[in-house]
Amino acid sequence: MALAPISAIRPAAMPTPAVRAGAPAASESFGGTLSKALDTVSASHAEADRLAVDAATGDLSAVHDYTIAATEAQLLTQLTVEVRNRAIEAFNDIMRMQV
Amino acid sequence: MSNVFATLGVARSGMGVYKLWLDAVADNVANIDNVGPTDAAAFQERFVVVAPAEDAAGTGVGDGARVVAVAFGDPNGRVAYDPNNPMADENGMVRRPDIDLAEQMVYMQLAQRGYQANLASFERAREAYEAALSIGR
Repeated sequence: MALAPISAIRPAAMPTPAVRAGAPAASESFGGTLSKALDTVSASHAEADRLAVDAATGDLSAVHDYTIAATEAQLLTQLTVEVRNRAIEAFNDIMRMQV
Repeated sequence: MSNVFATLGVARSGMGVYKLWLDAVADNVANIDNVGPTDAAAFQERFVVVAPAEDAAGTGVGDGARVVAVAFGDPNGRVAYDPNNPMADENGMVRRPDIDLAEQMVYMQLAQRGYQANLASFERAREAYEAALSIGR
């Protein structure tokens, strides 16, 4: 009985992040991306502040509107800070590299 | 709002819907004993009309719920005999709103539980997002 020869192991397909749709253009700098993210964070804080003023003046229509906006602003800030921290960590690792 | 924390927005829309339903039920209960003359319309029960919100992001999951309209109950109400009432007509009849208090209490319970359920999904999503933010720390 003839046995089929063992075929070569094919490497698993690796995703190529550069061609994914929706990814920022390669030419965009990290600083620019972070700056854009900070604009979003700033806008979400402005929204939370506006709702806080509404609560103080009695114009707030629903309590959860403010608390949810505040939570969203908090989470977005945490996310941006986390991205910045990881980037600086990576930069420091490269700076410490022996050449 | 941002797509990163989409669940927060969905839960928020649900809370808004149930909050408005609670408002409507409270309004119905507040006006349940209104008495008027028979030649005027009675207080009409308030109903909240809810529809799914448009899926703006195109994820196929949807963006929660929204209130599209408020519908009104029967303006004829219930005509009752109450000759001592100053509002009564020559036959001693007055007009009352056609609202069932027991039904309103059930709606109130449903609205409260619905609000709490949306609050639970909000809290769960927040915990999940916070856990995701601490990955690798």
